[in-house]
Amino acid sequence: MPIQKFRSPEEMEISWVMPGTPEHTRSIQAVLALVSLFAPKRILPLGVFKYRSIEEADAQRESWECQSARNRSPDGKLPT
Amino acid sequence: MSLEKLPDILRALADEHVDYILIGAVAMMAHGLVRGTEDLDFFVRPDSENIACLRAALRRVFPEDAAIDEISEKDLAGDYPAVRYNTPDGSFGIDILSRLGEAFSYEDLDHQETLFEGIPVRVATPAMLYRMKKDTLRWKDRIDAQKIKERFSLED
Repeated sequence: MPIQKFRSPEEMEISWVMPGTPEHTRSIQAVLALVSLFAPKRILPLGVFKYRSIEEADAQRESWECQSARNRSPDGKLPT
Repeated sequence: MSLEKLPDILRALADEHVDYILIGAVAMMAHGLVRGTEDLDFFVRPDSENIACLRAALRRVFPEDAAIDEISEKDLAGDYPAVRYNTPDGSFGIDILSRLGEAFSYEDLDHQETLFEGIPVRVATPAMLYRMKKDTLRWKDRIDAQKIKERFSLED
């Protein structure tokens, strides 16, 4: 299916393809390649970290991602 | 490194016979709902034999990283049900879970086997993913839940 049509950008955000088909493999590879190409490069602290809850883990991940964004910003602020 | 190691990690988990169940964006992708991600999330059975298999799988992909030895069944079965391993180049994170609050543990997860880029993987069912994501606070999870509900015609 070379062309897919959507009624809104929201529909485009997560597309569905039949698992196990060549189209599925192509879609996964394309999305992962796009993320590698365009997502800002994160630099996370290395190693193993332990949390008492998933909320605690998510909070630290967000904090790392904010810090990583600040480090990339020329003025040290988060992009708005 | 980022995402190019993802297939290697999934293959190592299969080859080392780790009891794990994918959740998160990679699970969504395995069900055909393809979206971007920079992380891998899965539940594990938190016993000593299985966590030894998990360490062996990660060592296959990251043989130089001594930090892998810090992943322990004592933590996962005890006070630390969420363990994050950030891989040696600092761009890719692996969330290893044994339970989510009181609601979900490894044994509670309905799952199925499927192929992800030709690699056999164990993945939470769409209904299970929906249950796990629908009441969470993160906006990404709520969008995922809505997409899963629509695609698989799930009821609340």
